Amino acid sequence: MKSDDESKPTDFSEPPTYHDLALLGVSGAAILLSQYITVREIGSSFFSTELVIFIAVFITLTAPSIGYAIAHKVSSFFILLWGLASIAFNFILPFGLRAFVGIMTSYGYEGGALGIIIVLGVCMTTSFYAIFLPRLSRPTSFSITYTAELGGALLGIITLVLSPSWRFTLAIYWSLSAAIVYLALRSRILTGLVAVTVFALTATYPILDREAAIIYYKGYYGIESPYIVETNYSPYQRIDIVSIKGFNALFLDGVAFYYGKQLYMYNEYLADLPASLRPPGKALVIGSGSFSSSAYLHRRGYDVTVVDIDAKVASMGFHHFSAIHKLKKNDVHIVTTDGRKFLNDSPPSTYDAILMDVPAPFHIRTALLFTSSFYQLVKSRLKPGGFASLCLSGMISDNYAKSIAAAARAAFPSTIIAACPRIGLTFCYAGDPLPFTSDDIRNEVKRRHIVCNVIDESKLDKVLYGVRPLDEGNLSTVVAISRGILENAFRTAMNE
Amino acid sequence: MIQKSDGKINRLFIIEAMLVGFWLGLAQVSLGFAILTGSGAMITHFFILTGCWLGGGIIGAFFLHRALTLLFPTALIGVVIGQTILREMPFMFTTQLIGFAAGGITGTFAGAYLTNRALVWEEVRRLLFYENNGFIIGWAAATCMLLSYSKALSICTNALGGVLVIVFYTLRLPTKT
Repeated sequence: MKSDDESKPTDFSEPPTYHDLALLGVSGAAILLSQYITVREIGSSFFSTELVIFIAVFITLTAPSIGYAIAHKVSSFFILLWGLASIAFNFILPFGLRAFVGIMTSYGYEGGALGIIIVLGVCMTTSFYAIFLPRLSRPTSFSITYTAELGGALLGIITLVLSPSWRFTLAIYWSLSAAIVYLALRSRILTGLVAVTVFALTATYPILDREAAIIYYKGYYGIESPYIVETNYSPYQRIDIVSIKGFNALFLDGVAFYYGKQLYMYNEYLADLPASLRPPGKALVIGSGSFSSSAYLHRRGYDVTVVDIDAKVASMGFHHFSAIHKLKKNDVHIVTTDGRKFLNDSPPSTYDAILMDVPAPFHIRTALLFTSSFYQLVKSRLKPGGFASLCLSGMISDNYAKSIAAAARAAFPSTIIAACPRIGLTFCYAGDPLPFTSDDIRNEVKRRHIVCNVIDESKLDKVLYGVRPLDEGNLSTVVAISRGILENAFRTAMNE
Repeated sequence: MIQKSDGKINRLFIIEAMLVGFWLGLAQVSLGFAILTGSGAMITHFFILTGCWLGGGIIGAFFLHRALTLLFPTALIGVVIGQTILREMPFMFTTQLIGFAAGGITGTFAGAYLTNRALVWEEVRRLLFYENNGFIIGWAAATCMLLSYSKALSICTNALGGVLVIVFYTLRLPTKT
């Protein structure tokens, strides 16, 4: 194949035209949106952990280097083929990836799917869009051409901030491909074809995404006949409400967070059990989910404030799980902000109960809600005789559960653990001092006919001897090993 | 020009581009984590930091590429102050602004560096290639440090930045000003 270098040497004397600058601006915006969309789609199609996000970001950062490496070594015909293949890949990615992962996982090839996505992602996501900057720049004009590309990327960020929906973001992203075809290839026929495809994809996206999600939940989790009740992309995660055997389940980035049939026990241990052992007061629930924890507290007479960083999770959870939580609109106060910031801004000794109803620490941002410094903050906002309740995301025999328990133990003078083998989770109740004893919990567990191993402080200190509390400087254990905990819990629940 | 008579690129320039990219990768992750821990996990913070970095890049590329030797130490000081102040005074509006400003200054240095060096590299794509590869390695190393021992990340970012600033002044690689 003859390269452009050989056939037509770059003319370094010509300054960039407005046409070139427009192409660079559009490609800058396309690179930024492609990076954002690729990371979010990969992050929600495989079991979402910090490691999966790491791989997704690595793909999007590596792709431009491919473009830079071959920018001047390929022919115009190769660029045409590569461009069309890349645009097709980016058209299919937002729904096709999920279906592909579901199909591959159903045959036991999840790892293979990840490998294929890495290779394709590096070659097809942003690499094509990255070839324009080196091809259209000469050393003396680089300040102008680079500014044009950065300006496009900045407009991409502004688009993300202002976008009213994920579908709108995708429509803009796909439309940029049509603009690139027009500006780079200058073919009206191809531009028309791409524009029609963009229109068709935007119009049919909800159907395509729904079908892909059904294939995904069938293949990835082995769910028979899943029904997608609603899907939404918040700025933080993909939220799926999936009806399974008549019960609604809440999936955050493809990871089961609540399943009405069985995981309600999670909220009973987290909220109802400790709340039943002291008089009602003022309560704070960090994380909304299905609102089951808030509802337990409300029914016990608590004045409940729910803090969630994601307003869409809160609104969808409140709407789709209303049959379970049975709350009315003004029964609880809902605040949209970061839980750590909300607690930091609250006066000391404000709450009688603080519950952490948050996803397991698969990501750094959630792991920060399981650290000793955060629990110190929680303790400072509890009234004397108040309690904090949290889930250790596994059994106490697991190392990461131990490190979370050690973090709570380091912050609170009084700590009791309740290990529940049936759902594979351990709960921690902490206070300064706690308003109940380990015997109170044992009696309550006995009264409710649930199997639970209660561990008090003296025994807990032996279990946690030598364990390093989770803190901001040591997040590896939690983030790396926590994969699969909720997955196992969910599969156990499905089998039962 | 940086090419030798045999057409090969002077290795010092390749090393410089990769090291600067590496440091920018460390600085970006380090600032991102400082804002996450000291300002909250709101998505708007991520967008503002990215916007400041890109906006700074535009300013650096278009207006300030002649001030490269001044911008590097300024960016380093900005990163150090941003990390420190977000850690010591979390969840304050002023400290958030300082964190974003640190991102903007570092982005300004990144934009100025590439534009300045584009004048001495004959082929822009090679400069972009080596700088981006350095950035990827720096980003990967920073993430690994973050997940294992986050204090190492801030120490490495600041120490490497300091060494690079000194090397920048000591070697005095040719620049077009």
